[in-house]
Amino acid sequence: MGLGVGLDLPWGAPIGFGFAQDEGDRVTPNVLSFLARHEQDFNYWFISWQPRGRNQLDATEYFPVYDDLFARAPSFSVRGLHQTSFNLGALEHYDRSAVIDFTNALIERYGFKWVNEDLGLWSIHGRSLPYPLPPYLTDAGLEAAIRNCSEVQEQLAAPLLVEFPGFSDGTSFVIGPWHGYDFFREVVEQSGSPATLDIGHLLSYQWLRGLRGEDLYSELDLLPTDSCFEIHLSGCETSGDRFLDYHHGILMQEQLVLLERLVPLCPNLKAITYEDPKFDAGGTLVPRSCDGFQALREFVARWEQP
Amino acid sequence: MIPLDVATDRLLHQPSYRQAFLDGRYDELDLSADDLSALQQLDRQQLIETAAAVRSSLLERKHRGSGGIRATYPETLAAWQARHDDGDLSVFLDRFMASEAFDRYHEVPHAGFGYSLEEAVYRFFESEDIGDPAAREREFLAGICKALALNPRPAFTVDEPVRRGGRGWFAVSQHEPRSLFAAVDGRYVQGQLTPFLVDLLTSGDSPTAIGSQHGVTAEVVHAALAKFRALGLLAHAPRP
Repeated sequence: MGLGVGLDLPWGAPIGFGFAQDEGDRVTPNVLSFLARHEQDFNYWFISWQPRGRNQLDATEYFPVYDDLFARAPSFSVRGLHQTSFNLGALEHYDRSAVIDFTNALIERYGFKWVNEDLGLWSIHGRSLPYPLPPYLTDAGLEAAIRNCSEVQEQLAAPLLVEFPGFSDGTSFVIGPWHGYDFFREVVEQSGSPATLDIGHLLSYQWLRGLRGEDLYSELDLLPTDSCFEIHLSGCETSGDRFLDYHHGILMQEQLVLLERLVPLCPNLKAITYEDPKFDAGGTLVPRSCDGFQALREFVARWEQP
Repeated sequence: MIPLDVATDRLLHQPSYRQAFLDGRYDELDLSADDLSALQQLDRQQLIETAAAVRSSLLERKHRGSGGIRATYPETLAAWQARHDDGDLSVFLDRFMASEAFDRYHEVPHAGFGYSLEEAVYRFFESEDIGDPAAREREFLAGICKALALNPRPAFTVDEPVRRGGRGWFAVSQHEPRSLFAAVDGRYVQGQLTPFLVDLLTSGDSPTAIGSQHGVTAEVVHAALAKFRALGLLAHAPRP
């Protein structure tokens, strides 16, 4: 499929869904302008689902807004969905039935080809977290993550892509002795899941372990590269000694280097996603993100898919 | 012994538990040897910063409907700040997050339904007797009904004094001035009530009996019921 774009669409944000008294919730013109401007750049797209409010899950509540979104956006041939509520790393009881029913209703109506979620803790004991925590890197955490992914994989009407989680400085910490790459590989292989490798998340993990420079690109052989279907690139940056997974659209040189090294290791890779670009009301990318996006576009154009 | 997820929840939300961990008072953590060993490898600075982010998010995050803690409880928070000399509300967060009310707060329902944030904060303030009870109740009922106006099928528990109405939810304050707070048809409604109207909305007696108790004619009772039905507070009368 080549290059695609992933958009987080929160409610009440310039890049997302806005509210007007006469129209209710509708996708903002900013988003439509960006997609129209880059229609030729992308072969597919995914949207990240965000809860509209605090109602019990009901897909029909989202239909008018999503119907309008897909009617007015360019008709990319493939659509995916990014979920945030499977909570795949949870140890505690977590009833996913409503989330699965809800997601399947969206899959049926909009033809999403896959559903993706970071392997982590998006909430703990019913209280959400400002940034998802990585899973418990313990034996019990591994068992739970495999069980959770298998359960969702079985019941979902589209493949679940399990994504390597982020380890952004100041909003996450690691519990347990497992190496993150080993842990992720075990989950992917034992649950039979296709994988998403987010380049920034991989760098954030190695950075949090204290690796720098060339070492940031090490240990790629530990990753489930054979199962990798999709790669994500979202904006990250370092500040002093901190690695920040900002999702601000500005790609670091290190992300592009890791992309070049990772892609040849992934024989089943189909999709490379520019995730969460930032743009103005006219759909023009913020200036600082242009060089990185151009480099990404050129790399994907050169990429010879198996 | 508690499982690791409970310990992680406490590390993030309970200052005393987190401090025991940071101080190395491991015997107070109630953990198995394996789980303690897993936690001991944790980067303490990252834990401190993550917990700070959680606290900030709880206090500052806007919620669709009520707008968040600061917007919902301006008077009661001011009373708390005055009593505890707590300008940045750090003591409030410490105490609230350690409370039973917070324990029952569930924003995400898939781990079980729980209090809304509006109700959890209110129950906490009630238990601490903070501020003027009438203002506290008014702020709660306004906040929860604004939340219900936008979330009429809530993924959180809704208990007395908030009740289901004909086309939404309503509550009547216990403190003077007795007032109606309601969420009907996506709108938030508030207004003062006479004693007769309070009883008509909340009493188990028949409308006729309530009219008699208040010296109100049958025509007025009928008109009031019709108005409440039109507003969506009461279900329409069954057809004869």
